[in-house]
Amino acid sequence: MSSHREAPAISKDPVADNTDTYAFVSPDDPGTVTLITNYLPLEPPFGGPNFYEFGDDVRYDIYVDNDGDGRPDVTYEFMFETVVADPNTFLYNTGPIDSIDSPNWNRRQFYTVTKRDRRGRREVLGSGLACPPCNVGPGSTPNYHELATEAIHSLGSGRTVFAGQRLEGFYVDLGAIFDLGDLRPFEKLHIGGMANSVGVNATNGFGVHTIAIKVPKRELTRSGRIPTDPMSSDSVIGVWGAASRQRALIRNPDGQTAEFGDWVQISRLGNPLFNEVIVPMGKKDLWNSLTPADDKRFLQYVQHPELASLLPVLYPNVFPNLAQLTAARADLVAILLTGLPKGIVPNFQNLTGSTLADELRLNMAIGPTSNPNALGVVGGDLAGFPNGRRVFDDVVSVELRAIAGLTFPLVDSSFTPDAAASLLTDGLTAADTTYLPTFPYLGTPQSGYQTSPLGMVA
Amino acid sequence: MTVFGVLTAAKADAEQGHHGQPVVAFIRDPHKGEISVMSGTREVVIRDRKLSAAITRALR
Repeated sequence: MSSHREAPAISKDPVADNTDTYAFVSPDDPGTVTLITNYLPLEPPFGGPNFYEFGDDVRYDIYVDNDGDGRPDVTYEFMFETVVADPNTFLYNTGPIDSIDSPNWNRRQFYTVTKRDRRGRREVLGSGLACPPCNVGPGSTPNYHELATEAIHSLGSGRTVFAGQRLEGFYVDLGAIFDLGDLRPFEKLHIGGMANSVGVNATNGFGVHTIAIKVPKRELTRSGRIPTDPMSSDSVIGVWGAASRQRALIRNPDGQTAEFGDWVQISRLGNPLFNEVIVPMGKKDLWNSLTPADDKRFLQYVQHPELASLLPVLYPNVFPNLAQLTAARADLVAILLTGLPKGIVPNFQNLTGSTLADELRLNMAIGPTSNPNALGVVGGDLAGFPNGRRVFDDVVSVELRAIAGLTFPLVDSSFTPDAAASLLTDGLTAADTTYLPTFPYLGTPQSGYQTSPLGMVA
Repeated sequence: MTVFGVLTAAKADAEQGHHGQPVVAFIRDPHKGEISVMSGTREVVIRDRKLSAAITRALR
């Protein structure tokens, strides 16, 4: 998955598990950028009586690097507080929740948004901001879309924020991919030798908890100016999300807990699938604890990704050129760790400098397109991944194709990618889930009442 | 060896403590006497071999 349960330690702490990070120029408000981080992977909608919520004991951060050193220059910090109206009932709600302040809603969450600058100076942008409830069902949360819309808050100065449950926007055929790299549309070519079939979206219907903030572009640039020149380094930012817990946890005999000490990072995510697919098992927990400035130590895994060596084995005779490719993958280093310099893709660059750092790099001077291609830059759409990441971008196909060698000619024109490299996909598209055309862009979560438990694939 | 110790601020020390809140001390390195002292989100590191040894002895 992009980063759902991607490392041993964080897979046991879903409340802090940063599953996806998005950064894009807001399509309906192009003077702003929307930054999104998701947590709590794979929420079955029927999650009562204790429906999903953010951790009151977790610090959630969205980081922006605007000088290319792999360290945050602008940080948006989110801290949550749960309020229980009546602790003497087991119920999440005692009647229909028809508004964000309904007295029938028993367990609510509120949050504070704080902006930190590179020197650690803090500015509270908003506090006491209400999250929406989870989508329980038509009896408890009628008119859910309208209800959740009440939880979109203006913070003034052109900023807008939302934190709460959304429909999972990341689509992936998990069941097949982690069954020895099976891609159902190419099963006949796989060592399993089964008949080709269509992809199955493993995240279909699942929820996730989203933190989304929309801010004016000039708030994120190093110069403080509105970026207009795509070729200017001032137009490019690096974005990643993270979650931290305090160093010590004390469990008291009365069931209460207390946390002590400084914040320790336990999850992060910049480029989708980086920790999941690139970093080996023994270093995934370490990777989650570091900042992008430390990512030089993972360079070898980007230069020689394990998956690139597996593809020719899993799909015999399909990737002969990839099998012969032993050179360090400078294309992947550029895409994932430095950004693409000028002169590689016409009219495009998202280079942040020489510091090797896993960041989602967004050139903010490139505006949204009315005819987006979910394959992003490799599909000829400069407004999509790896120029930031939109909620509907097909990052699985893009990264599969890149690792299979499709992007290596960008740095070595003598290399001819295998024909299959430009076709690789898990068989899913953005049509396999739904989105909103406006902030917070991720779709309305499915209710528990309307959800059937998982079925079997024929 | 490392030791977790919970030192509830004594009443007499409350004025010098962190607003009378519980304090957690974590002996990071007993040989150097390096102790992390935490209350709320505040965390400081002190070096006190005598205190480190005294806490460690209490576990025997």
